[in-house]
Amino acid sequence: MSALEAHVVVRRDDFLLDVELSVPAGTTAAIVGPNGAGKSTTLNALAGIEPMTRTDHDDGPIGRIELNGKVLDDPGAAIFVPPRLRNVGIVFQDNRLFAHMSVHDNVAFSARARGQHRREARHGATHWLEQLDLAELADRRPAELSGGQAQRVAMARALASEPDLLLFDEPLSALDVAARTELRRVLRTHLDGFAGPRMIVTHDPADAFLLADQLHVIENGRVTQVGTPDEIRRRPATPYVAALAGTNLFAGTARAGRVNLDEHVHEFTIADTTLDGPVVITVHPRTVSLHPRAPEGSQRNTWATRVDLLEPMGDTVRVTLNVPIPLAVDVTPGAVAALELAPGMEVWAAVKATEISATTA
Amino acid sequence: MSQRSQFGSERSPVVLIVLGSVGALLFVLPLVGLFGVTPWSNLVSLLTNEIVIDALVLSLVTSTVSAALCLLFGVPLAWMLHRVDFTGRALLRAVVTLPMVLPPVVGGAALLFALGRRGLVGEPLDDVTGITLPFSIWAVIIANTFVAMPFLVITVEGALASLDGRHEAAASTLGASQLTVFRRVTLPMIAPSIRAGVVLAWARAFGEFGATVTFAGNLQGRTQTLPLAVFVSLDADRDAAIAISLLMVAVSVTVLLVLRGRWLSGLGSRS
Repeated sequence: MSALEAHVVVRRDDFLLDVELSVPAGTTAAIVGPNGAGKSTTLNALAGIEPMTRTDHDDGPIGRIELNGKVLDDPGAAIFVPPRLRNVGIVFQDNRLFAHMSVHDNVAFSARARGQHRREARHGATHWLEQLDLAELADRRPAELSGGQAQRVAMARALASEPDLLLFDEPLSALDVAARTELRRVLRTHLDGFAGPRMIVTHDPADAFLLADQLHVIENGRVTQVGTPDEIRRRPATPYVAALAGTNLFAGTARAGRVNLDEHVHEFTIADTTLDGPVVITVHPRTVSLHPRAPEGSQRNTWATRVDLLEPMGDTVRVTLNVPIPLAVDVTPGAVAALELAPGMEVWAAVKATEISATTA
Repeated sequence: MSQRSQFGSERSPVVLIVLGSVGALLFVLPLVGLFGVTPWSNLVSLLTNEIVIDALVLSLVTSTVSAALCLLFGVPLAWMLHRVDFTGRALLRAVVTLPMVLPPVVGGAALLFALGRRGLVGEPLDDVTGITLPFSIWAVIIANTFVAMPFLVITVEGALASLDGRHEAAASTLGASQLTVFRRVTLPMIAPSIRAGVVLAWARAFGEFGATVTFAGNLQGRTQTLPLAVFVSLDADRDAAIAISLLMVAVSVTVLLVLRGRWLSGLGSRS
């Protein structure tokens, strides 16, 4: 039995959120899904900010949230543990720092709220300030912080409350690209260092695939797929997941405009020649073109490969390649016909250097 | 006066400038009139008169105590009206804001019926403790608070309505009880509006006349505040009335100007 066993049911007007989640201690679950799918509502229900729906419809599902064997919310049994007694730490997209307090007092807030004296609480907070590299910012007000710094303070504040469950609601999406890369690294470190179950809501495939052990895809209030990043990538169950999983993601090492992949014998040419060291690159399926022979053109990346699988996906066809690298490619049905694509067929793949996005890992 | 609007080169619409100026005249003219008739030469002797000193001290003390009482009871009342769901909430809100539209004399009479010696609460209070409220300094303070508190309540309630509860929710996940959330998160967030509300309440209390004269009477040194002194002097000594009026204008303008920069700025951004 997992540390977090939750069946989250929230009914709101015409919308029904009905999601089952199970997250073992020491693992990270990502919740991904389109806007309005119910991702944030799920987290809010887990934190107790949004109480689950009572049984006003006799035939409807009834939710239940259990953390480390303790029932936090069970409308069927009229159990509701208020947020302050749940020990659930949550980092919000908009950080929600207390503007009238210094960074130090923000991080010490939880200890003070639980009855510690100011000095003791502030002393305890210094540990987390140091852990998140915030010691020098301790006396600043939130208004004097950059977005990335503020989000680090929010993480320190949540961690300092010594939660049993750690939740992140789109923690990176309000940040610019540079801050996002930096904070993703911090996030990964502290996710790994947290012993309990942790959950991250995101709509960025990079976050989901890089940070999570298990992905839960939520669409329109329901879980449409659960699996490891690898499983999800291999067998996307819905068009949304396919689009998400289709974002070909590779870790590698950059030097002078070339990226050597970590897990495959392959090299990509990228436009940015200034990157140096570990990077993550993404190749969108629609930017890859397929050719019967070695293409002569402006594309800097061409390689011989073989078609593994063809799947119609709405108005495009998903082509799965596996050698020398696993890659999802989206082409039009017209292209499939023109090239007479079929599984097992030898083709050439090509992608422009400018179409590959690379960020420091 | 520049004829340029904040949009730079385009001229401000003349009609708005004209109407606005007429509106401003309504406030400027009486002041000019007051300055015009002020007996400047013997102003000092008029103002150092015992009656005036008594009234000034009483006015400052009672309006300040009233503002403090508005703060003590008004903020929780605003919180209750906004955050607690109970039947009759709309009615209570209407009753609380009633003193803003009610003639103060009517309010004073109502206070007298409730808290007077033969009043609903006043009689048992008198019987049990021997305390009689009317015609005491406490009556002045109660009358002041009665007319002033609605200003604080609506200012603070407006600020509470503009909070979306997100920070309070975050605080509760960090282990804070509702009272702690109120004290350490809600209050600091609405502090600018609370300060603005206190200033408004103080100003309203400082100028109160009708409720005071009805409920507290007009006893020099005990319940005769500056506005009452002005009213009494208008018949007896016109120059004294003018001097006291000028004193009130000076005190009020000073308070509003001093507090405006620091405190009243919260009004515009919050409500």
